[in-house]
Amino acid sequence: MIFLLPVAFISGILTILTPCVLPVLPIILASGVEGKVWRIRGIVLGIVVSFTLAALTLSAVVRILGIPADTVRNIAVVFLLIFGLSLVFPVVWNKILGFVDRFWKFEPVKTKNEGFTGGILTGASLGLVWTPCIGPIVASVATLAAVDSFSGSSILLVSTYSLGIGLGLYLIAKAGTRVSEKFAFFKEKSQIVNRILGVVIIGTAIFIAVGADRGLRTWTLSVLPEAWTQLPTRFENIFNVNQFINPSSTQEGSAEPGSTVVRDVSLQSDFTGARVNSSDLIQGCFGGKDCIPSIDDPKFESVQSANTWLSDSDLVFAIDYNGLEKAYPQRILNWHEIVNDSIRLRSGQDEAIAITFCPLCGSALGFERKVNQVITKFGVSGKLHNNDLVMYDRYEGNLWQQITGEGIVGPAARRNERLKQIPVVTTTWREWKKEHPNTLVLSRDTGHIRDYDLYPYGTYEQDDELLFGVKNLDRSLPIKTPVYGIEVDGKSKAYPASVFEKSSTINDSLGGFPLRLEKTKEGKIKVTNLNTNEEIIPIRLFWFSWAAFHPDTELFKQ
Amino acid sequence: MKKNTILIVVLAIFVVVIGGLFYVSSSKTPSASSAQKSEVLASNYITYTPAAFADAKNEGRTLLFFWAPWCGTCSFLDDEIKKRNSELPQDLTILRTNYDTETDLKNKYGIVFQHTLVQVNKDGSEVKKWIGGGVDLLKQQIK
Repeated sequence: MIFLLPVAFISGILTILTPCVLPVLPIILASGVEGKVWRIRGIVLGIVVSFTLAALTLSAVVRILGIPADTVRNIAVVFLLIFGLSLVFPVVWNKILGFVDRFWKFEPVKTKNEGFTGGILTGASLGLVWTPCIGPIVASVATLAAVDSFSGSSILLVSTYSLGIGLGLYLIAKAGTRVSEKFAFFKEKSQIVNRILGVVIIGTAIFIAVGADRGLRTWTLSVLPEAWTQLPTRFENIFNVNQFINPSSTQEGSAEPGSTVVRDVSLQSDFTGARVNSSDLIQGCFGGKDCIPSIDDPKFESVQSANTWLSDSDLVFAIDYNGLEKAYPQRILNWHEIVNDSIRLRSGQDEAIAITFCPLCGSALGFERKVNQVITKFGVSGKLHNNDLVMYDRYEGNLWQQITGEGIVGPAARRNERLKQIPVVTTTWREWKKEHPNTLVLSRDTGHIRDYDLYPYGTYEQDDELLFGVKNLDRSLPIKTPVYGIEVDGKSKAYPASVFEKSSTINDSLGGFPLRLEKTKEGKIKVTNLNTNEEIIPIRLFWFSWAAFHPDTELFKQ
Repeated sequence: MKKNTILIVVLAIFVVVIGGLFYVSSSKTPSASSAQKSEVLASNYITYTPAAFADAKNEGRTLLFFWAPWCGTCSFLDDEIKKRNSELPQDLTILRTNYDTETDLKNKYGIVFQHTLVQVNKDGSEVKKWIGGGVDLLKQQIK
């Protein structure tokens, strides 16, 4: 990706040399001639920022607010008109400011950076109405943005491209200033020059409002050679950018079963065969995938050492798996949600596992880190479905539902793949360490700087509010009641955690199978199907999230 | 003082006139296609009309190509679809859809850039969306 940055930057500068720049050229030139350095800087900065934001977020804004893109454009045109008019009729502008001032006190900007604020707003409006000839790089970023898939590199690329445009525009304006400095007229009649800039802005706004900019572009396309009009695209194609920006994300992996593949993937965005609709997935945090960083190189410490910072009542997610005992404190998982770990089996082989936790659902689950039999790692996609963590794998970029372990988007969904679950006990530190004095504990030395004494979601665990919407919100219980959910033969049932405080063993049945549920000393709920003698792995989580993913669930009542 | 009042009145009239013009021009934006017949540009490559869209959805895979006469990269893809027509899947119908006039369709699929391609399935829901690129990217993206 680093290699693409200079290409994007130069491509931005080249955009300025194509006819695409014509609609904004008069304003840039006029502001240069007017010569207020801060106004020029404001306009250029405004264009750079608003163009970048538009490429990244316009799709989301249009979808979330339900307003057409044309409306955004029209609003920007109206703003341009207002700024233009304010320059032509400064008296009126001051009146408006005075009027606004009555309701909203603010300091008028009357310093040496005069015109900066107005310049930024003018530039920001221009950036929205101006649809430059975008090349493959920006198009690919816009494609990702259209499906809500951002990454640090896509944001960096489009900003770099805009900076190239910004530099080009700034140089043009500076050239304008050079020229005007040669003529005394511009200095003497600065009021008039100011008004001329206003007229140019108004003219541009009207020009764009009636669609003349598009007419002009059509005309230039027909008369000018393609090599000129498509300069940025031609330039980017020299470097064969397509193979970098449209990687094999839509392809299925073809690695050998049992091999390990961990790579930089794009999130799968093709909803063919998906288990969810694209509108069901909500962007839960900014920055795209890994906006919450998983722990990829976990370190562990002893009970004594953990006792110095972990309280007895703290929750830990623990495994006692093939003879290895490990505890992963909720305090750490609140900030990372996924630990990519390995366990040395008695056979001497390592088994790749992931311990996952969704703070909004209270659900901790363990999985084998295998996608289509290929060992890989998992990360936080940044998306949520029914408030639950959506994970992605670093082999194919599939999206996975944490609570069900199901592949929901990508080839894994089409393969009907479900991650193999490993049992995780959610219990208190007191109970776990008493039964497992030799347990290893995940260390706070995660390689990330976080305040593990702080709970990042405020009063979320105590209150009755959800941060995002849920389908089938079931209020049979207070929504954040901890329950143990089990599935037997397609049937599901939830047991409020409190029932095990009254009696540690419960005999019940589900789907015709007799069950025994018992709470062990370490705090584990052990569920046995008495017909088959098989152990069923229960999930401990908040009631609402169990019910959201199991709308037909039964609820145990004493 | 009087001069200022006149200025304000002039300004207000100006804003209202521009706003009015704007409203008229945007509300009048015709669904240009509705009355017209679909124009065949190449094999399985036609201009959008609601009827053609309905037919295409029933027949096989359908791709909406949001195109504008002022968009250089769009005309590049337009040419390429015509020239390299034989490389495209037989069951794929591409509908060239005018970005400037098909406002309803644009809103339905949340289109914010010219040169956006949307593959839709039988019930009209979106399968795949991407922006930019030529026939090579199209072949790679289409499902």
